[in-house]
Amino acid sequence: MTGIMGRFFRQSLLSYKALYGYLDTKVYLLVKVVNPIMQLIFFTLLCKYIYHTDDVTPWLIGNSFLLSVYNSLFGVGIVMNNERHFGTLKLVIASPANKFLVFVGRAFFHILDGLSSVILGLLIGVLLFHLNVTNMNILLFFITVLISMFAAMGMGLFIGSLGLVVSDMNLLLNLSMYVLFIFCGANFPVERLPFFLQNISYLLPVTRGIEACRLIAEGRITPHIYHLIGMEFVTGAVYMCIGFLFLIILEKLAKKSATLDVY
Amino acid sequence: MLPIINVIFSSLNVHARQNFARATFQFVILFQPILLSFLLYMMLRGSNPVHAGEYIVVSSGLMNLWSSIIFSSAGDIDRERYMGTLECIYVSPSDFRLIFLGHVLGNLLLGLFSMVLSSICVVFLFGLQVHIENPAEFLCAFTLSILSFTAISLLIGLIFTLSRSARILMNCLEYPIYILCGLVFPISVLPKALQFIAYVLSPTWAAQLLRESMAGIQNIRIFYFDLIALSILILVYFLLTIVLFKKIDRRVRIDGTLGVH
Amino acid sequence: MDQEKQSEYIIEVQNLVRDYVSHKGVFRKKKHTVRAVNNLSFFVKKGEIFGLLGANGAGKTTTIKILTTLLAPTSGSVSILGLDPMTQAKALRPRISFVFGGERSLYWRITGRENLNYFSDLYHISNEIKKRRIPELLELVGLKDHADERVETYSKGMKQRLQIARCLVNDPEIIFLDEPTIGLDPIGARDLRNIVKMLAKQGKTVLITTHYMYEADEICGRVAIVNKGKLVALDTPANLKAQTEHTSVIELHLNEKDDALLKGLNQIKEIDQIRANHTDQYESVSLQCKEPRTVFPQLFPLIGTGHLLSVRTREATLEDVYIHYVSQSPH
Ligand SMILES: Nc1ncnc2c1ncn2[C@@H]1O[C@H](COP(=O)(O)OP(=O)(O)OP(=O)(O)O)[C@@H](O)[C@H]1O
Ligand SMILES: [Mg+2]
Repeated sequence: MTGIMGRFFRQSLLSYKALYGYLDTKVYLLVKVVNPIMQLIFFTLLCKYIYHTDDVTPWLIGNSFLLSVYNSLFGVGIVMNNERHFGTLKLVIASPANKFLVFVGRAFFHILDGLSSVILGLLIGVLLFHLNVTNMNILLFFITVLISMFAAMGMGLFIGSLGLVVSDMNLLLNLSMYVLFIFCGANFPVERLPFFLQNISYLLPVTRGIEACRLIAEGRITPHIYHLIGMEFVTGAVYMCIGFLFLIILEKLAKKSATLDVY
Repeated sequence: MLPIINVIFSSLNVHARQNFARATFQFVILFQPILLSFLLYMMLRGSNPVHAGEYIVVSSGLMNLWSSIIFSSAGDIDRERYMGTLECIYVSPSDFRLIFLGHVLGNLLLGLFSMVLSSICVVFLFGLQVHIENPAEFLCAFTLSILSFTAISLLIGLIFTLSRSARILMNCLEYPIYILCGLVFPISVLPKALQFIAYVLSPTWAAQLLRESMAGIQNIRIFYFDLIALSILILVYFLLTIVLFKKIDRRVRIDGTLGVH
Repeated sequence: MDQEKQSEYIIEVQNLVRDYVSHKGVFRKKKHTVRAVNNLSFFVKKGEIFGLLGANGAGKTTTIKILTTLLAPTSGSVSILGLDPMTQAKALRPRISFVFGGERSLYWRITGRENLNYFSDLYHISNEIKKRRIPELLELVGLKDHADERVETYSKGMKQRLQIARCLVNDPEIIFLDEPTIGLDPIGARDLRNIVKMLAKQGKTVLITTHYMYEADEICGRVAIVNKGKLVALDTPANLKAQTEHTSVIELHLNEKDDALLKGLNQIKEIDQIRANHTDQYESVSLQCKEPRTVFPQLFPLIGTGHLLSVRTREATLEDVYIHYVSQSPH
């Protein structure tokens, strides 16, 4: 058991390092701390300006949330991209080890990273924007964040598997990041979208997570929250399943026709 | 004179094409203006303020211009470093600043294209009105804005010649400039100390001038004061570029940062 | 060397030293200095093909970068065409050119012709000359038929040849070639050597680095062997080969490592140097000696049954000289 855990841990760290390891510490801090803070401040100030309000709590929460989602989405997506790049994806898919565990294992550090982004976001909120966290159920809040990150990872996997057929992954990831920006209600209420677009919002991960977290921050713990969290989990699971299905199909295709160079 | 123009144009041509073939840059030029305008539009939709169209065009346009500089001009030098071409162009008899000016202009041209794209979105997709109240002054402000973005990207790009982490550092300059220079919201929301920094940065003035000339100039004397302030800043940037380059030229050759290894 | 004689050299390198300083550690930085070039001196005549040989990390590329105005020397003096590359770069740059081997140093997303066009513009080449020279260069490097295809579609060899064409757009007086044949197939490498020879015939001076000794032997008038930044030998290939006086090499291929054999060989005093090498297929042992006839009778009794795959006797090559110098100097 400790052996498995050891491997799990090592692989996870390795995949994290593969993404950021080439940065020296100062640059790493810039990329992982300063830049997210700036992004958060920008969007919070933007909301504050456009909505003429001093209570920026909902927007702060929405945007800190997006920071962590960014980690999950890019973490999984880019890991897959890199693996394809270095020709190791085949090894992962073909390995008898549980594929699910392998991928989650690789995402583990990205999750830790994402959690720290959320904490950072809240800290900035408290320090700069008078965010009040006293009547917030912290435990429930973090559970919601975790589940939303799981959902975002599902989307990352889904996009990653799409990325196997579409040659440019970065474009896809950038695009989906903006889609989340617009559709999941971080910066304006979902109800403002034209009706047919609102449906898209609820097909995406994170939308419900943000809604739930805002309620939690207001201290309004109602059964509705559990419903939101549950649905968020389901959304994530569905994306994951589709992602895996896609991977398996592509694997079969690749085996059948040696010409299909997806790996 | 002719060879100088030739160098600038040749470099503009090559780099605009090299860059446009990159997916990240395509995203910044083609998708980002549309998505950004849409985001701003949706945020404004509840309150329906006056000059919403102008606001979106200027904000998303300037943000895009800045992003296109970030994802091109500054990174360009780093990319050339990795391609091994930096050393080749550096030792050519052409002034490196001119070659780089070609880069910057090429990227600005693409950035302007995205400005047009977001205007089209605003007018035709969202059905908002975009009206320029003082066209002559707007033209002035616009020309100076382009010059100011050219000057600042030249300066920043050259400074980043020194660093091998230029590309990553540069990416971290996207939001700070959005915030500091009042590209989207006025700098009056910022603490006083930051406002002083904002006034040393040319995009701050450019954004102010563009907004004013579009929405209607309140006080023509203040407008011209801002215009002169921006012109002086641009001159200072160009001078700094010329002076700093001498130092940078020595430094890169002592540190050996032109190549990857 | 007296003044009179020196002036015939167009590259003069005296006591050249270059240190690289890098920083390690995060907050409390530790300075770490590597001496890449250590007190190097050599002179190159006009029209000469001069080879710079040395192991990986010997400082060849560093030297070329200093000579081509890309890097500042730490100390020592360099003069190219009578100019100082550090302070008179402006006057020097139009008259020289370089190629760093491999597939880099080109714009991949535009065509070969456009690459040449661009670099011509950077060198202020007039339109008339451009119109004449670019097709000539494309012809010279055999890319005429692919000139209008994107560089990213080129093979490695084609890219390397395009680089040669690129470095000739300004009709330079001195050309610096850093491993120009790396990764080329035998025919491609031969074509490239022919181009270099032809350029030298036209009066251009070439300074070339390579890891292929037969290549240096074939084209270089003189070669300098550099080890850890220091000059260890400098002469014509013929003189170098004669200098060591080891005229012959016996090469043994064995199917497994044989320590007893090596021990025995050490006792034979007619053998001047022993080199053991491991490859995928066999173990090779090279013996340098003056008279193979005197070695053979003592050699065969030492070889265990079933071990020997082949025996060969050949003249010493530049490679043997090179290995002699590079392995001899203290580590
Ligand atoms: N920019 C740099 N920063 C730090 N050290 C460097 C740098 N460039 C080279 N070095 C070091 O200087 C030494 C000489 O390197 P150089 O590239 O000149 O060798 P070389 O003879 O060209 O080797 P090769 O045959 O592998 O190309 C090496 O130890 C190398 O690690
Ligand atoms: Mg080298």
